[in-house]
Amino acid sequence: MSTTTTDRAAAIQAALAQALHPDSVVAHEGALEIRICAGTACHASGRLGVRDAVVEELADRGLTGKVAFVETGCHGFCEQGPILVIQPKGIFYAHVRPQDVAAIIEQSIEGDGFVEKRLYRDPHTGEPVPYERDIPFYKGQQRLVLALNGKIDPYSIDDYLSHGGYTALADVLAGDDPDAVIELITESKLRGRGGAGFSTGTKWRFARQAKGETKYVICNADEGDPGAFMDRSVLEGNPHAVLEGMMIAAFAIGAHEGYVYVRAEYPFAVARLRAALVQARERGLLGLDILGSGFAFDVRISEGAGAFVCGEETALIASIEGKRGMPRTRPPFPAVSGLWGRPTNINNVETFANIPWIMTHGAEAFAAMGVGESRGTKIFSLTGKVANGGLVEVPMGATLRHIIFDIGGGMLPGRTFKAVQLGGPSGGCLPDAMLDVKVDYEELSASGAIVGSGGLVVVDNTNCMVDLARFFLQFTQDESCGKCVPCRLGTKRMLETLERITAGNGREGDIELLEELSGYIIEGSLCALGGTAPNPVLTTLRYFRDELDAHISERRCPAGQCKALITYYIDAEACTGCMLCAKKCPTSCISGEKKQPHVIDVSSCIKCDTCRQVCKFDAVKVWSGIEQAAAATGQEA
Amino acid sequence: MATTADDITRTQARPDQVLLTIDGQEVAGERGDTILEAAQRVGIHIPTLCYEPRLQATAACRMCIVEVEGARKMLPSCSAAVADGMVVRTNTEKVRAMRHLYLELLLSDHNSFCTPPCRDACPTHIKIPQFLEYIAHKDYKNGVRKLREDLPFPAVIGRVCPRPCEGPCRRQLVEHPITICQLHRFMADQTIDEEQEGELLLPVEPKPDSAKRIAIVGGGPAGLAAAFYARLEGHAVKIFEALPKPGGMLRYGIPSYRLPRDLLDKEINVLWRMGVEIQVNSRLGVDYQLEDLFDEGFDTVFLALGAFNSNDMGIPGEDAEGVVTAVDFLGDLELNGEVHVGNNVTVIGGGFTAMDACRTSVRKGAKEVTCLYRRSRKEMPAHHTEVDEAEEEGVRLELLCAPVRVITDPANKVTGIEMLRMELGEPDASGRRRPVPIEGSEFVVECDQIIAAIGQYPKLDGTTEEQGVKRTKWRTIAVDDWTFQTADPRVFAGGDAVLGAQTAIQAVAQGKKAAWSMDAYLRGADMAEVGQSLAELKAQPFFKALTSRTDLDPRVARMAEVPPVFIDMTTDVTRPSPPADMPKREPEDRRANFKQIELGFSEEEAVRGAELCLDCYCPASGKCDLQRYGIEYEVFKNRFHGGEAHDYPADFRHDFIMREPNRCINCGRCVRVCRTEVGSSCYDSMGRGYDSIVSTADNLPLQLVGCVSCGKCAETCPTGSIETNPRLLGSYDLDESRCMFCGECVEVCPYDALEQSDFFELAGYNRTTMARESLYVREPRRVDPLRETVTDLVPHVRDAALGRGWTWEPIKDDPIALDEPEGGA
Repeated sequence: MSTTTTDRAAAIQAALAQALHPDSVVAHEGALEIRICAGTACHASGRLGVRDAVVEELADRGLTGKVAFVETGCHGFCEQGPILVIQPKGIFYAHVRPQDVAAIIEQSIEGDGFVEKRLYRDPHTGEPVPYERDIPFYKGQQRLVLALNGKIDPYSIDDYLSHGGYTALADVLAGDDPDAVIELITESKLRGRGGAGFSTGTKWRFARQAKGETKYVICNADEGDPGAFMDRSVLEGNPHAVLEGMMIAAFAIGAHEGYVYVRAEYPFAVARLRAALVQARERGLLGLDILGSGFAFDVRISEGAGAFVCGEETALIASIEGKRGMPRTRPPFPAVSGLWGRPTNINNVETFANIPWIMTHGAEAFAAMGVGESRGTKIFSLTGKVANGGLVEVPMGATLRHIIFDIGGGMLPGRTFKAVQLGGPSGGCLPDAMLDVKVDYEELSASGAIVGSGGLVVVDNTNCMVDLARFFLQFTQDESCGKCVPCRLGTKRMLETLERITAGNGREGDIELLEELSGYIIEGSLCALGGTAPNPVLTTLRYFRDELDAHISERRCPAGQCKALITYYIDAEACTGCMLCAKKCPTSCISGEKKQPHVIDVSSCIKCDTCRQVCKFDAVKVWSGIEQAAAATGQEA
Repeated sequence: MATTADDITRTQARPDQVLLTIDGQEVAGERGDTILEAAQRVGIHIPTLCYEPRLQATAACRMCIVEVEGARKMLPSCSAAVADGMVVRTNTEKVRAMRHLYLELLLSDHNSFCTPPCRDACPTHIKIPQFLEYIAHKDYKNGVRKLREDLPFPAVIGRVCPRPCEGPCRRQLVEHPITICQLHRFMADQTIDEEQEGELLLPVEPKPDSAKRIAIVGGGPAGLAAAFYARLEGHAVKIFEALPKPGGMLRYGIPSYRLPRDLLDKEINVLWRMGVEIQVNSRLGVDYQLEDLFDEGFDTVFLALGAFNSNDMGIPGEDAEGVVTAVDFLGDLELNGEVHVGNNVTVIGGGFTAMDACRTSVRKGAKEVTCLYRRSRKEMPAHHTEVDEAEEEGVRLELLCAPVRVITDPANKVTGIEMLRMELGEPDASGRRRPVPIEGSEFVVECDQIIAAIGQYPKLDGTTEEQGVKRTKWRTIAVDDWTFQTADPRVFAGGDAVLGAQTAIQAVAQGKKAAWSMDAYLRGADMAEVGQSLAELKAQPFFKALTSRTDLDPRVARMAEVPPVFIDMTTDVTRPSPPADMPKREPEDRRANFKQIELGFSEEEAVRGAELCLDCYCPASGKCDLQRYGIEYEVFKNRFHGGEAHDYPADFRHDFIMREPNRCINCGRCVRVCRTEVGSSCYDSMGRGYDSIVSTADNLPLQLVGCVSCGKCAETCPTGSIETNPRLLGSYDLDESRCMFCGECVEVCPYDALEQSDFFELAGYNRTTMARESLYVREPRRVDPLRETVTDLVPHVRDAALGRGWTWEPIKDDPIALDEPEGGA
């Protein structure tokens, strides 16, 4: 018995070793290598031109084949794209343009220098930081899920295999004990990274215990929060990790079919995932007899049309089934009756991507990171008015201050921190007083925000919190599936109330109305979309009540953003009469002689903000509320 | 009651059951039951809009939420399963508050009406859109029948009514209100002459003789209406009229230029022909006593005595020669054919009677007529057209002044009246601004006749409190609010005698309800109970009146009428603008005679006018769940009105299934029933967010998305969003030149109306001759070319023009079937 088990295990390990293509070009430690980020953000900022330039330049210099060139997944520092990294030196180039490539190769490949103008510069000191390891953005992170993202070519299964890929799967198959797998995952205290934070081990156990021959594993890659892109980056950068996680899950619960539900508007993710599936099948890592273990599993890609609500698991299932993506009531939970009425386990991309690491490093190592009931790491997409935006992976329990100021580099020059919106439209806004809150499921919930899928939108003093709440509510209202009354109509009426307030027509009782609606929408909605939609409004009420009051009772927008409540004027003392604003004004409502202070004709000003943006002397100002009158009269005088 | 061991044993569940508590009641539920099912089984009603037993629950409407102890959130009871030891509360304050909010939300985007605002405003609740539809069809006879369900005298009331119905008419949002009142006058004018000799146009056949007798004292609008409806119930009715002719104030108060007497006679003649006896010149208290009526064998008496006493002006000199009351002035003219009119006449008052007195004076040759009123023109109780017409005829208005004393010559003859200027102060109880005297502003209006028209009160001679006819402090008869009974259970009262001087239409409404009440009494109902039931209905206003209450005496149910159930919908009805009026006689042509002023509509004008009706009502009113819950949860004031509301076009493209998406609440019942029971999947939710709506794919007409016209969607619709059109087609015809004998029609017919013949397989031999034989199709009939023009088909009015009229009312409730040939089949 034990002999056969050992034999079987050895056969599986041997099969895995065979899966690696012998001819594959794998960068050896110590060899020179150029890595260029092929994530969506760098793609958008022009990585294709850089790539062509690199290929051409290497050929010109006869370096093709001598210097490895890898198009990797997302490096996470999207703010700085296109990104090019020279390894093993670790030189990090940002905002690379094709015309820079020759110099970079000359200096950093052939020579030992840098092209200084393309180095990353500290936003506050302006000092160049040549090495990736020294950049605060990377230094403060602990990359576990994203570990291979900047290293391997997502189109190459060999890259993944040579970095230890699929060993976790082979171990699991060799161990042949699904319960042990579930036990391990439970011990690791891994919780769902999609938002709800439900224990993954428990979820798997439910699915394993559910009666039924046919079971499904679904990977939820329907990432829809505005400003969130970690699932996208993981899929784009390391699709095999997700597949491996899915396979382990499938083995654990006894499923033989899996789906990746990914939105069609993630074309790179879909293409790389598709390529990964093909390669995995070729190498015997997917299919009827995986690594000779007898375990059969295959994955299909289901492309979604981009409805936010399809990230809700029951709506997602309906969508895969070809129905309109609308949530249904639970119970029965998908673990009992999911896709096509069969037991189904649904996990988020990031959750699956954590699985191989946990299997290889053990539950204890994973549980060693984090605090309380929240263990391991979490990827956040840091966006908004922050100096260094991008993907940030930190251990659970890091403070918001650490993420925003240490890693993110703080505010843009001249701005002050006002709030951070966590967890997307379902989350909430926390003020600076809450910056030391630990990013932990329980602690964040208590503060009114949520971990959610990990969106972090930083808001500074130029943003109106009421308008921000309105924006997020607009999003959830537009994305409501329309099934249940509180969500379809309640959020609409809340939105109308907020629109009224930002338009300067707020009424007494509006705040109470918002509170009542929020409470009953949260309590009565069918799914989590409606159940969390009022959160941005509630946290605004909780932390930024004075701003809301100013809109309603003083008809004033303290941030100077709500157009109906503001007036533009030019500070005569600061204005140098450069005429730039007058030239740029689309309605030609700014007048003034050269070198004389200019004046805005308030009656035809459309408050487009152009003048303020172009003014180099900060002479264009915004007044709001009761000060409007004073501003207007002061200007005439 | 103390719980005993026995009680506990009784509520013990079987092994296959679970035991839970719902609203404090122990309930044994079947395993797998939902909370809703378990509650329903023990008679606990949980509201729901989207649940239907045969369909899979979706929990979309959130009305069925309940509190479950230990649950984090409210649970939708339609889909939450029962569990052992569960403690459920279905009706807590919070649950009710949430349901209230959700109803507010639903109704805030429910851009539709339950009952028409015009009908709600009408005191007798005439079924206005329905009768207008008959006018649009030019079917005046059935129109009069429909009208007479609530108003027996359309020609008369059509001339004298102050038209409260037209104020809230929504057509004024387009141009001006429908001239409802003048349209029913027009309709009655078309049939009235024929009716004198021919068939009576009654809403229903009078019931068989009940062997009960009703005496009606007073032949005014209330008495006549009561006689009409009592007669329909099969009772013998006799009217006792004090004056020489019946009609009451209609005859003796309203001048003939407004109401030609021949029309009044003709409509009263209908009562004669129905078998109502009318005894004139018999005054209660003079010619007979109340007790005499019972001695003569009458079972009940209805006192409709009117309001023939005039209020005193209460100023010195009131008894001078030349001071008369308007009631006497107008009555004398009618009684004697002549009345004394001064050269310089002053009329005091601003109501209908004052205008009648003014304009009669003009017609009788007064050189100068002045109308004195203490408030401003806006506050005048007379209809504004009356005031305008009076002015056109030369009446001078003197507003904001009140009489102080009558000035007389030594012979005590009137020479003038001293007036005091007024100004308007704070609004009083009636909402009108109170006139406040201006000190020292006296002035004199010279005149040789003063006609006082400052209100009337009932003349209750011949009745005494001892007889049970108690008085109120307003000198009217005190009756039970609900049954119209006086303290003597045999004696009922209504009209002006109860209301004080009011409008004719209010008197008619009282007469109608009193007749129904007397009928209930005569058929042996316990009137205390009837009154109690009606009071309860009113107290929980509309809910119970709308639900089919099996325990409710049908007589009570009817007396409750259909109350105004106009739930404050999204459309805001603004102040009325003046209606487009009937053509009128020119002022020059009316000063010297009593010819009728309004000349009547042409048929074309009337039909066009009726077609303008927007049909602001819902065929589902009364059976609509949303309405029912809206009423039950008292959503009469909606905080979300003024927000955006959808305005979807109604879909009449399918022949049989009518869709009105403005009434849709996205419950998805039609979606589910069509998918799971019919298998057609015609519907699904479309759009996202606030704009999501149940519709067909691309909003195609139903006939293009696989609809089999089974009507199951309409059957399950909890509101009036999907309604079926009565199938007016007798049969379908077969186009033999195109039939290729596929048999699809045979297969799909849900009613097995088609069948294959023995020769079906051979039918290909000769299509033309075999078709009729092989497919048994009922009698062929003309087929309208509607299929071709179906997309541009607009409302039912045009349908009607094509002879395919669609009535919104279910046929079974309609006493006269629309599609029957005239004169009955």
